[in-house]
Amino acid sequence: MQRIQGLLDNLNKVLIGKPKVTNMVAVALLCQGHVLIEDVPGLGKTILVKGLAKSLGCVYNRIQFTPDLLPADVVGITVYNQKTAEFQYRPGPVMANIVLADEINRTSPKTQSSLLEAMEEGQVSVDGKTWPLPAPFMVLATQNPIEYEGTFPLPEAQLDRFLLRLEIGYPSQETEETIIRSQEDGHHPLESLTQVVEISDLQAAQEQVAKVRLSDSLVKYIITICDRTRKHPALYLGASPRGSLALARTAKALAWLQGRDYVIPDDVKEMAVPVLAHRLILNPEERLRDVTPLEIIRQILNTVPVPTR
Amino acid sequence: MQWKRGGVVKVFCWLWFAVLSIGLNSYMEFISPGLLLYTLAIIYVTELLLSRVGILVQVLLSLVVIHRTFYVGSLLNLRWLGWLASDLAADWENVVQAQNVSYVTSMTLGLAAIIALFWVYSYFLSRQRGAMPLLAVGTIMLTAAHLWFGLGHSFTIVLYVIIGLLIMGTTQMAIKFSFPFTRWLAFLMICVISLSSIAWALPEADLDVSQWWQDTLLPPAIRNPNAQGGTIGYSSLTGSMGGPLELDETPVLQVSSPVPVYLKGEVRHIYTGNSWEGRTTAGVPYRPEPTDQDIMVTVEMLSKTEGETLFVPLYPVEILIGGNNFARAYSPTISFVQEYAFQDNQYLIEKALEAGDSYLVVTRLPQVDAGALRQLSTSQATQEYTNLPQSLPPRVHELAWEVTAEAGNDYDRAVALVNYLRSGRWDYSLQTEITPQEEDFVDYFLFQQDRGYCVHFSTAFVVMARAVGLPARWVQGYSSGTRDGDDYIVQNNNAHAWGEIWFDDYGWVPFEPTPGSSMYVLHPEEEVEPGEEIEPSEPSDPVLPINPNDPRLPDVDPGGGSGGQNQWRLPLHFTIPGIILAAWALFLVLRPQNYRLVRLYEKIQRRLKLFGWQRQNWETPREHVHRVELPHRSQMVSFVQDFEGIVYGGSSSEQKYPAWLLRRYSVLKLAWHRLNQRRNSR
Repeated sequence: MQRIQGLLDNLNKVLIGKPKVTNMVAVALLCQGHVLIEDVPGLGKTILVKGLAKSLGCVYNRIQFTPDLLPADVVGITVYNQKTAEFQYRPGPVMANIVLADEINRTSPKTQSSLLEAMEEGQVSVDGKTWPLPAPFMVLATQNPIEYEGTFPLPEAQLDRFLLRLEIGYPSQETEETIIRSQEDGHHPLESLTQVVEISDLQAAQEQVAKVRLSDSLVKYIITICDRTRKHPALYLGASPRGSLALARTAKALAWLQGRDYVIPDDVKEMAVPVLAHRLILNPEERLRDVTPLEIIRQILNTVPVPTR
Repeated sequence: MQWKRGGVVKVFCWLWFAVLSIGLNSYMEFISPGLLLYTLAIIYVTELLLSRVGILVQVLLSLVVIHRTFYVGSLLNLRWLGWLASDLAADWENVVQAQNVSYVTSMTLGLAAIIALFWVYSYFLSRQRGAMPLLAVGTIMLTAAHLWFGLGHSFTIVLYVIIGLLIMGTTQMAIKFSFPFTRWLAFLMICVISLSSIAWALPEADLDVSQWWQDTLLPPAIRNPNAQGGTIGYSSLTGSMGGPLELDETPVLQVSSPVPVYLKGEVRHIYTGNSWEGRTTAGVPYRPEPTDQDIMVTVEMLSKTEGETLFVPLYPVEILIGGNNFARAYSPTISFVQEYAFQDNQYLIEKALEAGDSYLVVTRLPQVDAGALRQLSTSQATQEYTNLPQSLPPRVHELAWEVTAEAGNDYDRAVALVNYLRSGRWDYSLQTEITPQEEDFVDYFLFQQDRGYCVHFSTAFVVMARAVGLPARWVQGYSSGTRDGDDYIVQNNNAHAWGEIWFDDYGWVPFEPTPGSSMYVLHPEEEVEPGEEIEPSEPSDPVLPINPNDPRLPDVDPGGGSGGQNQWRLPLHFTIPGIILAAWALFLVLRPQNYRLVRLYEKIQRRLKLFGWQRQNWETPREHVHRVELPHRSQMVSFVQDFEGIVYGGSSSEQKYPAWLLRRYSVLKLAWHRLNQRRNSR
């Protein structure tokens, strides 16, 4: 717990004023899930991922997705070694613990799906041979919500593979001042970070998260929330069972992060938007009315009764 | 320093409370000023010495005061509480109708009100809940009392307000209340005006609950079991007389008297042929002027008597039962209201006396002035005292006339009958035969028996006296008993019966027809000498007659309303707040101190709902606490965390939680919070 707290402290040092976002990243780490960060550039996505890698003391790679990026540029390639006269696998940038997939919606669906396969299966297949990915393995993908020109939006099935979708948002004026001041001496706070979490610590924490108590009433509460998304008139597609499973797991991780060994409804409510929003598909007419899934989830949360027994 | 300051504040508060209670008492006069000071002293001392159990001690001591003032017998014998209840019940109608109530009621309610008020005071002050509400309530009460009665000392109101302001000025209490002072004053004025107008507008209450109260709360009077024959002893049974009796030496009474006295129990006047019926309770009680010849007789009960009869020496001038104020004392416990009685009656009390109880009787010894009595007729008596049953055989009449043939006046006739019965023709014996069913009791005794005991002789005397036209009645009680030092011990053996004959302008004169027994009677111009026993039949010199109808004797007002001591006012409008206060105090003591946490949460939610502050059903408890601006939020937050631990964390739901949080969220406090919110938002 202390170690994970240290990790959070590190993340908060580099991503100043966004404790909720760093919390969510920690939740995803504890749940062994992947995160889709949807925001404009320059808000600290890269710094966050670097800080995370540094705190974990593990390998970090960044893949900048461009329209001409090929799957081989992601997963790696087999080349003929003339010395040994054998085909040799040269690992791609995905062979790392933490992968930052920047602007994932700029590349072709084929390349996207090569990454998504790696995320889902925990392995890559190159030329008929599979190579396991290192543990832990976590992808933080970003996409820019503003530019639609020349982008390939992620298909729904693939969005479902991200555990959380986060928005970082602009910092407040005070925070921005702090950010500027913290880099005045020409050094980035990132440089002063040290490794605080061993891989074994992370595994122990993941085991503890699994033991967090989720009462029957709250399981029903989660199911009711997901069920409402399926029946909601504004939604074309509701949350899948994978969604309700993710909601339960992340709520547990959040409870554990806050020092509780049981989940309270507040955890569920807090996780509902990051877990569910990207899994919902609006009816076209609702989309034209600028309704967002976020609003619909809030609306659902404000109608489902919270169990208090 | 801290302690000193607290002590000064405490003294101030006591003074404040004393002013309030003295002020209220000056208007309502529920207890005497001396007793009020004594009560206040008790309250303060107990408060000083015992903080928590002080209220119990105060109640106990008040009960002791009430007991010592009004009731007889041991304090630990709790039956007097029943008497108190019945006295209060009997007065209830007066309380409801805001009329004069008896002293015992006003004192009990007064003491209860003082203790309850003090409790409220110390509750408020000890918890620093602010002196302002006390100032408001006290001033309202005093002002209302002043408006209602228009007498008493209005300066107590001024004093009360001044001390209250002083307390508020010198202590930090007032700061607790952020309500502005001027608004309080306005609130005060509104309360005084509205309360006074309500008091004036109220119709006279007309609620007769006293009968219901008595029927419900008081156990039915215990009737004597119908014991047949058996041992000798006093019994107020009706039924066949005669039959053999065993000796029973159980001591009953200890009579402290300079001379041996007969103790009258009850009087009967209807002869049925085999029993005496018809208790005489009615009469004209009055108080004769005291004379030098009256003696003081103290009667102490040695064992519990059955029934309600009070045994009084012949003839009582004044009967005093209970604590130090005798004359006042016995009216609650004796069925007749008049405080003085003489000669004519028998005396009933509502509750049987028990061993150890005693009463004092100022007694005028029976006077038999033969010379005067010979001049008097008996014609003024009512006919019920000369009635005889048709079944009485004529030979009894004939015998009676025969015995009294020589006598020239009514008194000599009675004496002749006594002498005839005491002549030795009949032996005194307890071993008598039971009168056959079809026989007349007197006829069977006179003509077929050669022995009998007091019942036989006295009945025969009364019946024969009636046969010759003398108005006569039958009396039973105790004879004077055996001497033991200065006292006389009366045993069951001493149960006795005798006769009385009416003489116009003189009253009832006792006659003792049983051989072997003698009644101490006073003859005119004779000194009271202990131990001397004189036959009633002996003639002596004339004396002043004792006349129940003598116009020179002071009349006793049967209503008793104008009596000085009974002028206690305790109107409805002050009794009801008192009862409410007492009920509130009781509620504070009895309410549960612990709740199951889940239940506590529900209770608090229900209260919050009154103000629209409850948790919405889609809200988590935490969201609710942060949304609603509740007072004591940090405590509420930690409470909600405990609540989550039970509901979601699977902790034991049986865990108890102290109820203090509930107190902080009382409806009144929430209303206050709402008021403050409104004020701040303006």
